[in-house]
Amino acid sequence: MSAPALETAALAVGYGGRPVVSGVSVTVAPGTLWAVLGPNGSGKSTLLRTVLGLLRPLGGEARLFGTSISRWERRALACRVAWVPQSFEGDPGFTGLELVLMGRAPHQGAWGLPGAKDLAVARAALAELGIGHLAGRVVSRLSGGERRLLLVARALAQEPSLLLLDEPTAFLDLQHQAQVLERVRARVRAGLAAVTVLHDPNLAAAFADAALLLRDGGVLGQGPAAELLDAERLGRLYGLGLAEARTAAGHRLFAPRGTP
Amino acid sequence: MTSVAGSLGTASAVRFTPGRATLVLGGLLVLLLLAFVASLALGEYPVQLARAFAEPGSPDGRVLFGLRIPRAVLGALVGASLAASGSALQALLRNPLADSFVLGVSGGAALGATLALALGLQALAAPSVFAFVGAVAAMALVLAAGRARSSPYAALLTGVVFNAFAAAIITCIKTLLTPDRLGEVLYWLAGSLGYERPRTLILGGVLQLVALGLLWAASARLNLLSLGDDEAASLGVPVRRTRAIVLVATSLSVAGAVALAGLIGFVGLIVPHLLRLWLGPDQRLLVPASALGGAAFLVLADAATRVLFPVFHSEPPVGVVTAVLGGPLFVWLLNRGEHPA
Repeated sequence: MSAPALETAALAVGYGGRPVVSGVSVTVAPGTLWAVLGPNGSGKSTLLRTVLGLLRPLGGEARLFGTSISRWERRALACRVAWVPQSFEGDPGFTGLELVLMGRAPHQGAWGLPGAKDLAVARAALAELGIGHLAGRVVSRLSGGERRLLLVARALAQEPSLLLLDEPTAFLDLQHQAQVLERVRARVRAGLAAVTVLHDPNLAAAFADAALLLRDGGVLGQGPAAELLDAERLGRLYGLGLAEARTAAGHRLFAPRGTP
Repeated sequence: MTSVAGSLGTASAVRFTPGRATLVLGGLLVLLLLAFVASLALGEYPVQLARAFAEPGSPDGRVLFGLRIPRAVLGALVGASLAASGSALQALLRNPLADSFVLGVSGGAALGATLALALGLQALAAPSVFAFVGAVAAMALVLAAGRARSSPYAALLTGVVFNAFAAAIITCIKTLLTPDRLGEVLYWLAGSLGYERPRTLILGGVLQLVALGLLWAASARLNLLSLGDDEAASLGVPVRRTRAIVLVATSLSVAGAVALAGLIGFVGLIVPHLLRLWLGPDQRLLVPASALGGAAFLVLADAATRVLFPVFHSEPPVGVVTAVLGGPLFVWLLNRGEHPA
């Protein structure tokens, strides 16, 4: 049996020596989609950044494909792990296709000249998200949602074994929220391991296999999404009263109870 | 010619291809050669190029080989350095207003040259040597200060602060100088192309070739770094090493240029921005295109100073010409929007 894509043991993460969240012990196997939920500032993004090797762990351990993150060489890691950051802050003068082709960088020579395969993979990633028409558009002319979709396409073009997504649905309309998670889901069925930070527990309940709940510097709960996500636990996670309902098809829905 | 212009102007999804790069860089090289030849003929003393080449010993030949050619070579070297470094720094610092001088290089060089001139050290090209030493020292200081923090803004801000600090010291020195020495300092600070010996030019040329070669080699990573450090790292870029290479290469290049020509402003800002409007933000194309375009621009600007001689009865410093051309052009560029389709 191959090593899990991501394995952490009592991992503590944070900035400047001060932990934001600690005691994270999860195992993400290939072919599973994990959702990370928690209030703002609970350490969700910090956890992803640490797993990517952008931040040093403050304690515990994290292994990617059986090897400790500190031992990974940057480029080799980029061939296996892709990241969708929260926002696009790069040069908006690039075209959609140029941006997505940057996902091929770890697979290319130092000069990043795209070969036929790179172009095919990049165009396929655009098509996969239904944004082939953005290929020749300049990023400065695109909406926030379209930019997010390009970042997701770039991560898919990277052909990773582990995909880390930081709020991939932010700025997206309802249709594109569902579409992005459906496309990730399809890749997960084909063997990808994915961890996504989400703010909407309904999306987590609909798409994730497992969930990790972070609050107050620790793990409030973790496990299979079907068992873990209920109104009582999510209410404690976000610190408000939640109502739960079920659709005719059996999907769970959560909504704030509101003031009576 | 229309077919070339047509294929260059066509917006396509991927703008950096070897074919297009060859066309663009070839076109700019032709432009540089034309500027070079034109600048040889322009000046107070009208040179017949045919006669100069036929008789190198004639007055025409002596002006051409002794004065015009060395000066045009110097202009090309300095222009290439300032423009290519400006392009790289704008990407690295993710700041469209960054120019070749932001890293404290200008302040250090100016301080060094002012000290040399104030002390009356003219022998052995002392102002140039002092300027180079000052620029490299400033660069080392700024890089050391920026090392503690991983943000590229640390280097940028330290450079800006250092430039202001150096300007204050220079002002202080200026108030203490005699009028004739003050004139020398002011002329140097305005930036001008003089007549350097062949050995100096070869040394400067080698320095620029190495520094700009390093920048071009790093240009694909520079594209990724322009996305942000974390994104670049997640795409496999060794961020610290790449940033160090680019900062050291640009600083050495600009220090070399400043030592030879003083502070020539706007070239590092105008040329990359103009080319960027045409070519897009890809540094693999912008760095070499800026080098060629900057060289052509400064060679022409310097020829303009010689053409203006009869008007002012002296040559205005070329830095004044670039500023007079560059300032309005830049404001116009900013107002027409940063990123056309």
